[in-house]
Amino acid sequence: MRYVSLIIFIMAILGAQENDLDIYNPNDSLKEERISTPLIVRMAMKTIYFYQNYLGKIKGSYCPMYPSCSNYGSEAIKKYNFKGILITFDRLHRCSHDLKQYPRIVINETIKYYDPPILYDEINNN
Amino acid sequence: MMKSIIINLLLLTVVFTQNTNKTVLTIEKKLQDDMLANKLFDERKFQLAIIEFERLKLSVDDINKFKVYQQKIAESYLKRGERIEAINEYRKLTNIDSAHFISTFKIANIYQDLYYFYESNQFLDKVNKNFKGSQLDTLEFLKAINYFALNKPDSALSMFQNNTLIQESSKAISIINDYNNMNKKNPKTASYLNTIFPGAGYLYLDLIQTAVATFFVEALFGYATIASANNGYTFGSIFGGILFSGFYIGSIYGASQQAVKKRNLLLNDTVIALKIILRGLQSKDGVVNE
Repeated sequence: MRYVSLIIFIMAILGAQENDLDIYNPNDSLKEERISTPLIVRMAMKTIYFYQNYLGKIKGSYCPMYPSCSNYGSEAIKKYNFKGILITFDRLHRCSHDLKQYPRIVINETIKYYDPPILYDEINNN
Repeated sequence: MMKSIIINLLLLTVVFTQNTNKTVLTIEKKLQDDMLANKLFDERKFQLAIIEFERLKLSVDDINKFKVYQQKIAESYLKRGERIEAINEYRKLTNIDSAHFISTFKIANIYQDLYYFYESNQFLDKVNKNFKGSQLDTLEFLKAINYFALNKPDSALSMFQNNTLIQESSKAISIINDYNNMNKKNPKTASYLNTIFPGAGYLYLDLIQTAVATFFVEALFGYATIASANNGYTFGSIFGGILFSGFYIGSIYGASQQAVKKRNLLLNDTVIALKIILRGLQSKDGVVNE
């Protein structure tokens, strides 16, 4: 049974429909870029896509930060590939904690804590 | 003969009167336009003011008046928040008069506000030779702030020490000394601490709640992975292992990023404090505060 569930999980991640790939590369003319995207990055994007479109809707969770953790992950991975995955895990650690550290902004009449996906050492180098 | 002379004189009088009237009317019209443009500027209708000043610029024959109008156009753009356009307009002024202090200062200052510290200094290096005395010192003060913002506090400190604006420079030096004495978080230390003990790096960065959460999350996933592997649950151990590795490596990398962020914030706060001193200098040198 556990092998069946493992196979289903892997199939769910790897066997997503072609349209699902569009979340990180909507332009069909950029197929070369799509091929060059590392597998781990594609898997991470698919996991976020799966969460946003299925799990998130069922769960109906509320993230106090802006962008929300899944959007943060999506943006970070698009911008920084593998490093994006790492800062997404870091964000999951920080989410809802030590909120005084972040500037407050109002989004849709709700106070959110602003934490954009940025690699700060890359900013300094530039 | 007499008749023709009288007619000619009459004609001349008519032409002369008309011309005089025209001149008087033109001066009056220009004054009215000038007043209208300034009124629009004072009423903060900058888009209309820009159009009026541009129109005035076309008809003006006095270079000083032209400069005033050009400066007003640049200021209007700046007050509208269109900083790049403002820089372009101020540049037109510096092209006419290379020693135009206000436009020079404004260009460097706008670059600084846009966080283009390097570009600001590059510009100042080119034009500094055109100025002397307190104006040069003000520009050097601005340049020193740029050096500090570029994370070169020693260069900034030596520039402030050589500046003849003693009162302002001493304030700036004390601010930089305070910054140097502050406890700045080291990104490498934060990473090492999170490697040795999950959450310790965040604790070092004063993120207490995050530190506790990190410890529990990583302990949970670590335990789940080991327990799954011991009980022969392949799926559980792979799933747990992926998540544990992700959270563990993510926390190590993330801690260094947060340390850099904290440093940047500290640097930013100090730059703001230095810019407040610069504002005082701006009003001294007749540059209108924004």
